[in-house]
Order: sequence, then structure tokens, then C-alpha cells
Amino acid sequence: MFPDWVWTFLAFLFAPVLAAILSGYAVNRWKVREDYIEKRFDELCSTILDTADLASDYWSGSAADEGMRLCESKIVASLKRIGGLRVILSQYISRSAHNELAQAESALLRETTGGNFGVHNRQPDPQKILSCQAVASDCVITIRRARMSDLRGFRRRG
Amino acid sequence: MTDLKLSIANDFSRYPAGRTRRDGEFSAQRFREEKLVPALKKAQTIGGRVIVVLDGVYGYSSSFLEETFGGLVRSKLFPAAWLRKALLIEASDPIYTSYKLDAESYLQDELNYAA
Repeated sequence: MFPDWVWTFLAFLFAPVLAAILSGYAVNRWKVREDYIEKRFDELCSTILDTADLASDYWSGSAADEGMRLCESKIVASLKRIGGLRVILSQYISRSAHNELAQAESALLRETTGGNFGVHNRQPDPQKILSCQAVASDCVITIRRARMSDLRGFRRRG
Repeated sequence: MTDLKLSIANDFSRYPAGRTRRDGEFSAQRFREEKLVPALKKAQTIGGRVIVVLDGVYGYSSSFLEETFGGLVRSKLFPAAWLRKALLIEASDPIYTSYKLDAESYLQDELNYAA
């Protein structure tokens, strides 16, 4: 049906076209995976900053103020969400990056819910309002730094 | 060495909160006095250890952990050197890693201060 030279030409093209399709698929898979990881990192940072805002609101009022119990629950739940996101990310980041994240999270936990958190006669604490924001910023910086180190390939994932 | 496991979620409450009894039903003071101290006394008698398991709780506040572990050392019911060996904090679920780090740090700080 076709002349011989067409078959020869198609056979010559087959290998490069197949290689191009397979490498395109692999790059696409890699890109989807990296985008997913990046989104989780963004979500983690955003949750940390939201938690700090909640905590600052909490520490600006006293235990007798309306809505403080609800605020307390939201902060504790938010911290658990941060822990959950860290665990999700742990399979995509290096062990040392994960340890840094856990340390930063522990510092955030201590700052947002330490001291007189949940104490029945707690009074407003202006120092805590500032420190919650500062520790949250440190936490975000630690996360971004750990991510950048991983991307530069200095650390092995898993 | 016999290990006594004390799960906060199973043996106390899944919703622990507050420092003292006045702060709520499932406060750190209540956990310490009604669960942790008796378990440690039993461990002291049999020459064992107490492992406090943090898993399964909806969440902890740092103040609860400080009052539980830091408060235990401050209560001076047990020698600091013995507590260092006999009290362990465990979290098998990685979500609780940061709570474990926080609790261990409070315990170590108070033990170092007491020593």
C-alpha cells in the first residue's frame, strides 16, 4: 500500500516519538507532584499565620470575655491541623527538614498555648500578642528555608 | 523492668484542657494527681517505669503539658534523678511529635532546675 521508504521513515521516527511521549509524561508527573508539595507548604504557612492571629486575639482578651472558650478550641484544633500537614509533608521532605519543622511547630505550640492558656482567671497578655506573631514568622521562615535546602538537593528525601 | 503505660486519651480524657481543677473537668492538675502520681508510686514500688502515651487526644495546650510534667517535678513527690529514668513520654503517631517535644522539654527543664 505504501512505498518502502515510508515504512523506513516511520520506523526511524518511532523511537524518538516514543521517548518524547514518555519523558513528557514523566516530567508532567514530576510537576504535578512538586505542585502538590508546594501547595501543602503554602497551606501549612497560611495555617501557621492564621493560628498566630487567632492566638493574638485570644491573648488580647481576658478569660471572662465572650467567645474565649471557642477561640481556645480553634487554636488547639488549628495546631493539630498544622501537625497533620507536617505529617503529610514528611513523606516528601528530608528527615532533617522534618525535624526542623517539628521543632518549629513545638515552639509555636508553646508560644500560642503556653503560660496561662485555658486558665479560668487569665488576664490579657500584651507580650504574648507580640511573641505569637514573632514565633509564627520564625516558623514560616524555618519551613521555607528547609524547603529551599531540599530543593537545592543538599538533603536526601525520606 | 516493668513498664506501666498510661494513655491520656484512654485512661483520662480525649479532651484534656486547663492547668488547675478550677480551669475545667479534665485539667492537668487532675490528671497529675489522679492518674500520673498513683502510676509513678506503683512503678516506684515494683521498680518499673511509667510511659505516658500522648496519642489519641484531640489536641493539647502547652499549658496542660507544662502543668502535668513540669508541675510533677515541682511537686517534689519523687526524686528528680529517679524521675529522669522512670518517666517516659511516648507518641507513636507523628502528629503528636511536637507535643512530645514540648512535654519532654518542660520535664527536662524542671529536672535540670531541680538537680
